[in-house]
Amino acid sequence: MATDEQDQKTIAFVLYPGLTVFDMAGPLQVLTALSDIAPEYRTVVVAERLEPMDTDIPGEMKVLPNNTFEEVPHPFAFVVPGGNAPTIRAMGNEAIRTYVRSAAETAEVVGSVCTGALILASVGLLEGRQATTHWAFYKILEQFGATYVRRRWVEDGKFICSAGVSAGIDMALQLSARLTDEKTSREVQYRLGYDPEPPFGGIDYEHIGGQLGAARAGLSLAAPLIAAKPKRLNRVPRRPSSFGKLSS
Amino acid sequence: MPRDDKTRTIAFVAYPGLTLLEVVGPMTAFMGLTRGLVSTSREYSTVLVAERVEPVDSDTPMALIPDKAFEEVPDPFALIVPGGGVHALKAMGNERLINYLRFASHGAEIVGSVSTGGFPLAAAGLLEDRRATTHPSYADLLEKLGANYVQSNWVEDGNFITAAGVSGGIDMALYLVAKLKNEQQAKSIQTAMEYDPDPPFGGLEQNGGAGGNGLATGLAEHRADLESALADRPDLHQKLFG
Repeated sequence: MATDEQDQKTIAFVLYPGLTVFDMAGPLQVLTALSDIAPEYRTVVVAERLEPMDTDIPGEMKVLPNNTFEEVPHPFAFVVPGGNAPTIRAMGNEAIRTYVRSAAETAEVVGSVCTGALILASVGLLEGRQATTHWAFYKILEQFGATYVRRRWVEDGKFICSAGVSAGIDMALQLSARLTDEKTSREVQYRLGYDPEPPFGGIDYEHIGGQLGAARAGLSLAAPLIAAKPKRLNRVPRRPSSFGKLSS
Repeated sequence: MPRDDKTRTIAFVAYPGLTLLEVVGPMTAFMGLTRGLVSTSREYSTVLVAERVEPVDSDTPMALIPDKAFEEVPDPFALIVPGGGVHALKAMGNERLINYLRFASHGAEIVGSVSTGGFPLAAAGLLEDRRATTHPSYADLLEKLGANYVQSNWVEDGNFITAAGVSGGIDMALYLVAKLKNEQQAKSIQTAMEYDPDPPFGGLEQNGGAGGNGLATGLAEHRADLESALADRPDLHQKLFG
C-alpha cells in the first residue's frame, strides 16, 4: 500500500449540491475498492468548495467532498454523476463547467453516470459521440449533438457514460477491468458483494410508458427549467458554449 | 419538512468506516416510500443516525453528515445497519452504538442489516439463533456470534431482515417497499433508479471464494485495532478469535 501519492493515478468524482447521491456512490464504491487492490489508483471527491452538500435523498443528511477543484486540476480520470433539476442547474454553473472542460483536456478517462452525461455534453465534450444517459432524459442529450444509445454503458474513445443511477456500478466494474484486468474487477465485485437479483425482475423498457409515476418523477423536475428557457435550449445544440447562463 | 407522530422513520445507523453504498443504495430504493407524488411523503422518512451530528467517514473519500443523533430517534419504525468490513467489527465495541441498537430495536417493526452490518446487531444480542446472512467471507464469524448463517441475497426471520452485500441491500429495500406499500411502487422506484443490473462479468457464482484471502489479510492487518476496539467486550473477542 506504500505507493507514493505522486505516482498515483487520481480518479476524481465531481460533487455538486442536490445530485443523485447513488450516481456518485456506485462508481465511487467500486473504484475505491479497486484502489485497495491496485494502489496505483486513488479516488477523490472534488467540489467547488469543501462544504456539506445536500443530495436527492429527502431529509437533512449531507455529504462532504475531500478536495476542491483547484487541488485536483488534472486527474487521470474523472466521473460526473447526475441528478434531476440540480444537474440542470449544474450545467449552468461556471465553476463546474470550467473544471469539467479543463480536466477533460488532460484526463485519460472521462465518465458520467445518468444525467451527468448532460453536463459533459453541455460543454461540448460529447458532440458527435455515442453516449447514454437516464432513459427519461435522452432527448436532451441528443440536443447537444450526442448519439444516444440505450445501453447499460457506452464507451467512445476516452469517454464512458452509463445509463441511470445504478448503471454506474456496472460501468465502474467495466472500467475497473479496463484499468487493471477482469480478474481484479471480479475481485472488487466479490468484495462488495455485488450479486444483484431484483426481487421483481428487471425493467421492461418496452412498456416503460406504463410506468407513469417514475417517468413523471424524472421529467417533471426537469421540465419547468427546460420550459422556462426553450429558446436558449434549442439554440444550444450547435453552440454549446452559449449555454453558460441557463440558470446560474 | 412536515412530520407528525404517524411518520414511520427508517433509521440507518452510521459509524466510522461504513460502506457508503450500503447506506445510499437502500435509502434510494426507499424513496419508493419516502417520496410522495408532489412532495416528500408524510408516511415514511429515512434518516441517518449517529452518535453525534458531525461528519462520519465512510470507506470512500466522501464523508456523510447524519440527520440526527441517536437520542433524537429513540423509537424508529425500522432500524438498518450498513456494513463496513473490519470497521463493522470494530463498531461492535462501541457501547453507545450497541446500546442504541438494543434500545431502538425493541419497538422497531423491522430490524435489518446489510453485509457486515449484521455484526453490530449480533453484538447487541439480536441475532442469537436467528437465520441471518452477511458477506460470504464473514459467514463463519457471524455463526460464532450465535446466528444461523444462510447464504442468500437476503434473509427474513420474524421482524429481522439481513442482506448479503451492496446489491442485497438494494434488493431487500425494494422487497420492503413492496411489502409496506405495493409492488407497483417498488417497480416504479426501480425504474427511476434504472436498477436493471447487468454486471459485465456476470454474478458471483463463478468466483465465490475469490475474496477469502482478502478477508484474512484484512483481519490480520487490523488485528491490533480490533483488539483495542473490542477491549470492553472480551466475550465477543473470545467468540470471534478464540
